[in-house]
Amino acid sequence: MSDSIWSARVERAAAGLALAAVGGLLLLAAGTAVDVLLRFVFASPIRGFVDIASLTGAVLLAACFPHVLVSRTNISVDILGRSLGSGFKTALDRFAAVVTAAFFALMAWQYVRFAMEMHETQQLIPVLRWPVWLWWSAVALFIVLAASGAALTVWKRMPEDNSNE
Amino acid sequence: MNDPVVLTLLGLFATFGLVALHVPVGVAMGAAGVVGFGLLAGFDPALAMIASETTNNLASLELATIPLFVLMGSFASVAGLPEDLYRLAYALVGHRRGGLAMATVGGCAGFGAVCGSSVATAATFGKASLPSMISRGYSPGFAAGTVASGGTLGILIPPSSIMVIYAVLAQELIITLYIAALVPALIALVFHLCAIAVHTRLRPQDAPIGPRATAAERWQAARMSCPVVFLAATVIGGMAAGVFTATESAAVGAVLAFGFAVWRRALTRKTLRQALMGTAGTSGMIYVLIIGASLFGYFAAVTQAPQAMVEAVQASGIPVWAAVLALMVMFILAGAVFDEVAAMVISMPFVLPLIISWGFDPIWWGVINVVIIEIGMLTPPLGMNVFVVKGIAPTIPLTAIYRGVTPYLVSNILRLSVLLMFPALSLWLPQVLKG
Amino acid sequence: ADPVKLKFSSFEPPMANITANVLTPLAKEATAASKGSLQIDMFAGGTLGRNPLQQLKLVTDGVADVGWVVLPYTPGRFDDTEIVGLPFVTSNATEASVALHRLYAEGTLVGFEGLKMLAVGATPPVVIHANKPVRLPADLKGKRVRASGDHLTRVIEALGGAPVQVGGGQIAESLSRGVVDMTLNNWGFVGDFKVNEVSSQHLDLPLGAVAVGIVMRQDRFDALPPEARSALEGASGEALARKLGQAFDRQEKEVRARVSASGRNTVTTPSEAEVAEWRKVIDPVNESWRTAKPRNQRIHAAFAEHLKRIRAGA
Ligand code: NA
Ligand code: NA
Repeated sequence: MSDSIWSARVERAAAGLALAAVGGLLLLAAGTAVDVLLRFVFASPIRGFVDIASLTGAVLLAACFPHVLVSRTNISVDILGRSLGSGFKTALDRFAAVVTAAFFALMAWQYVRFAMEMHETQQLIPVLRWPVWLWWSAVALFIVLAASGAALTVWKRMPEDNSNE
Repeated sequence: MNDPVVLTLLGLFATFGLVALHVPVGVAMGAAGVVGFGLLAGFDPALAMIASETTNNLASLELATIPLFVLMGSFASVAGLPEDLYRLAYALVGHRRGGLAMATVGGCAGFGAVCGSSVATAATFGKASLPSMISRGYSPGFAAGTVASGGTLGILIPPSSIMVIYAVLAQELIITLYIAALVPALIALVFHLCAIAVHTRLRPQDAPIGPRATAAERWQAARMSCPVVFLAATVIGGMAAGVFTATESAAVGAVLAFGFAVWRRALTRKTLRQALMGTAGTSGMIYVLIIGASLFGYFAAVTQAPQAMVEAVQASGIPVWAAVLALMVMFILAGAVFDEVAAMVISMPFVLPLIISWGFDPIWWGVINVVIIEIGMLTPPLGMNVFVVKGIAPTIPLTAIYRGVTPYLVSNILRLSVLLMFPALSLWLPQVLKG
Repeated sequence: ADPVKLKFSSFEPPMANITANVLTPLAKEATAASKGSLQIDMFAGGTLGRNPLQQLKLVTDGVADVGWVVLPYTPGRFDDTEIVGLPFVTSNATEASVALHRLYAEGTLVGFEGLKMLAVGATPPVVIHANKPVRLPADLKGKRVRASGDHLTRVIEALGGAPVQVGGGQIAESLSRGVVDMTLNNWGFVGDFKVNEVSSQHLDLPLGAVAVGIVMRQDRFDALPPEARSALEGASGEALARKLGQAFDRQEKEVRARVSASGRNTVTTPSEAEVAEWRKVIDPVNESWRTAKPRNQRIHAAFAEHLKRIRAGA
């Protein structure tokens, strides 16, 4: 059905984004290793690296949210649904998807405001003095995508629930 | 009872209610926290708090160790390091009664030093050691139970994602908690080995004796284990020696593990994709949980209910040991039906002030919490690690696995009692290292 | 009518110096003077937000009504207050706080639009803490030095050291494990975070202070009933800035004396000739701050003028 093709596409896109983000995280880890080496061996760490790493890490982690929400890899407890039967389970999953989407929609809205505020007040990264709104706009974008993805799962029927640690 | 306390209780009920209705735990806590905070302090600040708290957590270098350690563990698995560990442990003790089980537990402990998750450790050893135990005639339930229980060592032996979560929420240093867990981890290993020795003596049919490894086999196994020893020594040693911080050690570990996977030509498109996607999913859901927990934590703080509760408990005159015992029972019951990490995170704003008011060290309580979580991951009906092993070996009945876990559960509860009675076991090493 | 309730956020624990000796008394004093129109509740220990970097945002978002903020934690916004961060300019927190507050009150400083500062102030200057003796600029060469702030970072680079970024709570640990070779902090911080227990050599060379403030949102302040406003006005301003500085200096003195008396720590006061060596390297860095923007020159002159008057007892 066109419906399921659509959701498969969204899932693939979100997974691709998450894949790229964790790849980026690995590169960031490599940068950190270089920074450590330079500091330890030559006492000359990369200027302002820690600030950039923490902001970039935030962007990369936010880029994992769409995948987490679209694939519903989340820490949840489904005892009630399992004991009440599959019809109930579907209804509960749908309710949970609505709440999740609403929560992330609020977060997205606040993040857009936050990024705009960072732009207006011209906040800078310490030492390097680059504008921080660039990073937080990227975070805002990914949270908007996550909220949109979560909204799409409301209409989608979940086959099996994912579990976690 | 004043209004804020009632409001806090309503907030807790709302959280549990939403969780029961399948809402992800992080989202449930976040929603209850935002609404509760909004009712007390206004909705504009409550909404703004969503962005600022998310910002704090996403940009936190402490929390960033979680995805990095997940990456390290994934690449270490891809590189075949768990199999090396298992082979080594097997070469050393495989010929004893219960030797394969002991090798599994030893391998789990070794892998725990490069992996921060209990589920990942159990899953990894479910693949690395379960088939060989079963093919050597071990009872499937006992073999699966060993893997499930051994896997929990992954969160007690540093690095540990649960310790990071605890340290961040309790505002303690991650490294102090790691150091505090070292002696309890050693104790855990010993208790596991004792449980195996006792169980196999009582039920020898569960664990037939295997052949003794030759000297050449042992030498080969030792040589093959060099990479994993090197990785663990770099990550933990570098952190302890001050070459790098906890976050940096995780980054270095992830890069090294990636390097080993490439060097052993184990990194294919498929394994790379699996490692990266696994990290994305696990980290994403942990961050959602923590963001929700911090939102709920502020709500709880602004009601000042935790202080009210501390005062009430103190005024009631309940002896401390009885209160601690009641907390333990509550946690273990909660762990039976609830996600253990979520239970720790939800109860933290209330339990931690109590623990501190009794004069206990929050670091000690962190270790205790991890051990409780280890137990919760093995208890029915919702034992996460048992489910993981069941997922790997679907033919073994769940009841058989729970039966196989029982000797370990008994030893875990004994171990918890020992750690409760002697806080020095957790606190002595950090004291000594502080100088 | 019921009193208006204000939430006062501090990221410090309730018993920490400034929170216990300045912020909590301020809350009590203003509440008492308000004739029942105001009730200020302290939320110490970061219960409204534990990240020190986010304290200003807590206030502008309305999560808290009054906040205790470290101004350079909002990089780019309060650049004018960097004047107190220049090494050798101020020698104690009281004079630095009063002078900086006067600059704020007369409207010389930008970045405070929409904010009502109950006080602007400064910490005591940071000094050097290490495990090997540090006497001269050459002792910093190739060393890993923990410091925060743009200007201090440039100073360390000029001295040939490598500035390393470490969060406040992890300084003692980084020093004890050798992640950094030395750290620059004021004595109060040393006391609070036990830096003296992991370092043994201290050079009392004043390398610049950090600007701080007690902040409200202007519109929140304006919306208060008149008695509440005048109670707050009465408890704040230059007098509060002075109290802030004095509280810093008291703790400074106490910790320095305690550390000096300890057998394991050596506190060195540099001789004039030694200070001259340091100034040879650092003065040009200060000069480059002065000439970076035309307004910096003005701020520098006005601040020096205020300091002169304050030192003369005015
Ligand atoms: Na571990
Ligand atoms: Na359980």
